Amino acid sequence: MKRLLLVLLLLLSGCSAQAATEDGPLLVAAASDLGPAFTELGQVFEQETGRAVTFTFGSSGQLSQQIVNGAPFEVFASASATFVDDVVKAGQADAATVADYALGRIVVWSRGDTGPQASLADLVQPRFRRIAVANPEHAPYGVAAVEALQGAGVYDRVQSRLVYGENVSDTLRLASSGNADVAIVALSLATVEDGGRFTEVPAAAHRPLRQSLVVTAEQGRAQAAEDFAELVVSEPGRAVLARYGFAPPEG
Amino acid sequence: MTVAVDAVLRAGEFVVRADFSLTAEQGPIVALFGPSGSGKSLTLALIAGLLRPDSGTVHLGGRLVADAATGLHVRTQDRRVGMVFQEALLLPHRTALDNVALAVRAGSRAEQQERAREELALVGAEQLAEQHPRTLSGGERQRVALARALAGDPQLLLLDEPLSALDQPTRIALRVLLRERVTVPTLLVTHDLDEVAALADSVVEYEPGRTLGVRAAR
Amino acid sequence: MDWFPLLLSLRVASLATLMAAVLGIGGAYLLAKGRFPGRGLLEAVASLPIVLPPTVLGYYLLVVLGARSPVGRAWESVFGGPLVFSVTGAVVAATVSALPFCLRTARAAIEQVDPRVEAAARTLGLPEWRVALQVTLPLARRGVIAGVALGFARALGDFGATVMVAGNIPGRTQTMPIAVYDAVQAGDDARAGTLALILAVVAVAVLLLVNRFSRAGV
Repeated sequence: MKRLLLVLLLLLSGCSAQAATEDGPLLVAAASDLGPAFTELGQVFEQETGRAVTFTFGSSGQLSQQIVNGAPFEVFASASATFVDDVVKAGQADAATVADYALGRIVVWSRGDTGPQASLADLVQPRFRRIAVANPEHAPYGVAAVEALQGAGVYDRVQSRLVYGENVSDTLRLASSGNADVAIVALSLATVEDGGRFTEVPAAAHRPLRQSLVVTAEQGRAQAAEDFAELVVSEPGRAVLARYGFAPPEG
Repeated sequence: MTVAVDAVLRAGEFVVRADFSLTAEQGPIVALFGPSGSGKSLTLALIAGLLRPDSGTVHLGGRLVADAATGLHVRTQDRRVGMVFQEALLLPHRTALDNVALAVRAGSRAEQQERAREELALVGAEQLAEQHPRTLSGGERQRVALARALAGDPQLLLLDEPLSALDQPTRIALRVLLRERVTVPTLLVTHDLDEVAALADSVVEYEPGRTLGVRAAR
Repeated sequence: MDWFPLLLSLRVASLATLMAAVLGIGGAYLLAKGRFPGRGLLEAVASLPIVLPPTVLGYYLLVVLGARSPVGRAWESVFGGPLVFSVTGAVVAATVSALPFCLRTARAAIEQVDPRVEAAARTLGLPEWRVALQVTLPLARRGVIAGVALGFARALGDFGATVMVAGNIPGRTQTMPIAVYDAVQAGDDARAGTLALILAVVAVAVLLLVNRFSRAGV
C-alpha cells in the first residue's frame, strides 16, 4: 500500500507544469475575436522564426483570470485594455510591454442569405426570439453589444431575449447553428463566416474596443514572446489584421 | 468457567434481563431454553460483545468485560468466544478450509491450514475443504461453522439455535456430533425440548423479561 | 489525427480514478461504519462535487489551489511549477469530480453487507482492519467496482472543472472533452464529431470491460 502511494506521488509530481522548454511552441492566449486573424499571424511567425505558436482562444475576462491564477501563457492579447491592466496589476506581466494593436468592430449577424438584413433597431421585432451576445461579464464584445443596444434605445425591450455566449466565437456559433435567431459578434469573425449576412454597427455606437496586448512570459522565454508581440503591432501584422476588419489602434 | 450477566438490554421494545452465573461442575453444555423472543439470543450477543448493555455488567471467566456505568467494553475479538449461529455465516468467497483457517490465531499460514484440516476432520467435513459454502448443504455448512468456532480455541462456545434451520435427520446427526465434539463450556440456545434432553447438562429457563435460574437437566 | 488529447485523457482519468477509488472506498467505509463527530459534515462535503455545477467546483478548486493560495504557493516552491494549469491540476479536478461516485456507490454496497457475517468474523478474533479488508470489502465488491467504473467515466468526461483548473492549453492540458469544445468553438465540426465519437467509444468500451470483469465474479 505504501509503495502504491509512493508511485502515485511520483507520477503526480512528474505531471506538474514543466517550465516551457527552450524551443517549445509559444503559448498565446488571445480573445476569441482574433481566432482567424491570429491563426494566420501564427503561421507567419512560424515561417519567419521557425517557432510554432499554440493559441488558446477565449473571452478576455476568463483568460485574464487564468493568467492571474498562474496559467502559463506567454502573450495575452485581449479585446480590451482593462483585462490587460488586471494582469499587470497582479504582477503577472511587464507593464512596459503593454501595447494597443487594433480597434474592434461589431456587427449584427444572421444566418442564411435571403430576406432583409437586420440592423440594431430591427431587433425589437418579435421574429428575433433569441438574440445572442457575448457574456458582458467577461467578454468585451459583449459589453460593446450591450452599449450599442442601449445607445439605440432598444436594450430594455430586447433584454429578456438575450442569450449569452461564453465568448464572441461561441456567440456566433449560437446563431450559425440556429439556436439563436441573430447574433451581435465581432466583425473579424463575421468576415470569414459562410452561410450568413451581417450589418456593421457604427463604431460610435459603443465605447471603442481598444484591443491591447501584453507579454506575460517568464524570463527565459521573454524574447520569443516579445518577437510575437512585435509582429502583431508591426506593419505586416496590421495589414493582416486589417484584412479581417480591424482598424488600426489610433482609429 | 463462570459467566455472569447482570445487565439490562433494551432491544427495540422489550427489556432483556439476564442474571445468572454458571460454573464448570455442571458439565460443559448449558442450555438456555425458552420460547422465541424471550431474549436468549440477545444474552449470547451480550456475552460475545456483539451488543453493549444499556445498564449493568457482564463477566466472563471471572473478568469484567462490559460495564455500562463506566463504558468499559472489551471487544468481541478479545473475548475468545466461539460462536455458531442459526445460519452458518461463512465467508462465501473463501473455501471451507480458508474459512476455518481464519479462526486459527497463531502459527504460519501452513500451520493454520494444517490445524484447519484437523478441525474439519473432527467434524466429519474434511472432504469439503476445497468447496465454497454455496455448494454445501445446510448441515455441511454448520459442520464447517462448528469447526471454525472451535479452531480458535475458545474459552466459551456459544451456540445460537445452530440446528433449527436444518431438517430432522440432519439435526439428529449433528446432535450426535455436538455431544461428542464439544468439551469446552458451552451455552446452547434452543427452543427444542428434544435438543435439551439430548445435549444439555443443565438448563437455564427463560421467560420474557427474566430468567428462571439454573437447574440440572438430568 | 492528433492523439494527444486522448492519451492525456486516459492518463488523467486513470490517475484520478485510482485516487478517487482509494479516497472513496476509505470514506465510504468510514461513513458506513463509523459514528464520529463531524460525520454529517464529511457526508455533505463528499457529495458537494455532484451538487455543485462543474464550473463552480472548478472555481473553488482554483481558489484553493491556485497560484495565489497557500497550497498553490507551497506546491510551486517544491515542484517549480504551478499546481493549476498543469496536468496535475487536471488530475485533481477529475479526482474531485469522480470521488462522489466512487464513494456513494461503495457506501451503499458496504451497507448492504450482512452485519452478521462481520459479527461472526469478529468472534474469530479478526481485528477490525481485517474484517474490513477480508470480509466487508470482498462482500461489497460488486458495488465497489461499479462505483469505480462510474468514477472513471466521470473523470474521463469532465469538462467544466478541468477547463477551469487546468485550462485549455493545446498539447499540454487539453483533454478530450476540452478538445471537443475547442473544435466546436473553432467551427471545425468534423474534428469535433470525430473526437466526440472516439471519446464515447472509449468510455463505453471501458464500461463494458468492467461489467464483464465484475460479472465473472472476481
